[in-house]
Amino acid sequence: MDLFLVRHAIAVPQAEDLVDAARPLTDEGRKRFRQVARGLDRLGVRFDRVLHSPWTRAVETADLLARVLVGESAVEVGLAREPDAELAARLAQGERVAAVGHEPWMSELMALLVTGSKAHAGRFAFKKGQVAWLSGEAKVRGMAVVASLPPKVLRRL
Amino acid sequence: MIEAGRWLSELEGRLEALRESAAPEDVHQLRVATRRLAAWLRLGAHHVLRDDLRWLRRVAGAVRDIDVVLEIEGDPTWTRWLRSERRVRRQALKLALDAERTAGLVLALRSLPPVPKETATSRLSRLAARALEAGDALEAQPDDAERFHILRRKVRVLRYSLEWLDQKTAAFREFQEVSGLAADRALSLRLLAVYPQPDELAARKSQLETEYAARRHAALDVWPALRERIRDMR
Repeated sequence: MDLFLVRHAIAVPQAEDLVDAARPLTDEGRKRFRQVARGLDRLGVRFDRVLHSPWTRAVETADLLARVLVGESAVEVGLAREPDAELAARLAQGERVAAVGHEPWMSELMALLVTGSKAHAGRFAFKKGQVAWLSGEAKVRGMAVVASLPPKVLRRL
Repeated sequence: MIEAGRWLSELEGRLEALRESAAPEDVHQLRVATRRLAAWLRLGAHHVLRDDLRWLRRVAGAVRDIDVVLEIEGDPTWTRWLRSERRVRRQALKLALDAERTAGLVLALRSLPPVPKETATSRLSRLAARALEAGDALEAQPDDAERFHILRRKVRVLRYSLEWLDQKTAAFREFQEVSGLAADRALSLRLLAVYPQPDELAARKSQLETEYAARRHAALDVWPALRERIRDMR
């Protein structure tokens, strides 16, 4: 399967009167990620499943992927906490799946899927709106990196 | 701004109640809450989470279908089978209630910001157009059961959307009530089709088919008034 790990777009900063899970995207974050989604569209990417964390910034980012979603979306609470082997297995929900989440967990998830250890997460840092394209079996050390697509590159496509 | 508040609390309350019991009213109201929240998401131009609500509604709907049919059917062997089928479906619902997906859905809904009224209002004309298209399609082929079902769905979506905006929906409710009587018969027929001893209920099946046709025609009689009401909206 092809798995696209996506870090949420730019969100409003933390504030005392705002629960972290409820932080929405900024207008600029929304605008930029719309361009990222358009870049994926131009690459011909289509998802038969979009999984996303329940936190607002991931929900809103997943919303913007609707133009490249041909199947269903589903909320996945495992994307809003430290990843484990069970989450890796749950990502196998189609041939082309996107998973939208947060740092440092996206880096840890990628490290787990590619190297088998979260200790290597430092090698796979995600910028906001960044997409990593993996291929293989959704299990610990079951995937290889096809491409790491920084938002700046996708926006220019 | 339109807050999800009231219907989100309703959803959470029914989820909680259904963990303890399987009261038909809780199952029914859970489905209603998922539909109303899906309408809210649509008004806010959200694409995701509606699939999660649909998933939950489908699992609850399997139980609700049985409850609806139990209200209108009386044959003892048939209703005994329906009750045992309900127990099986109730187990599936219980698993869904305890699933992380349900917890994630509630958390996501609770965290989303309210929908600006202008955004919601701007979506109404598209929803109205879809309902009118579905009505035109049914008028072209009034005996098409699928088209009837689609019109019911589009009308319901529009009604719930209007109610989020505190607009009057009496004509919508009337159409839903009348067409709902036909939909109940269609449900009975659908469950009869999977009943292991259908031959025993051949007479009832024929009666249901007659009732279904009559009630669908009654709904079609009510549709023109609603159609005009929707046209006025545009």
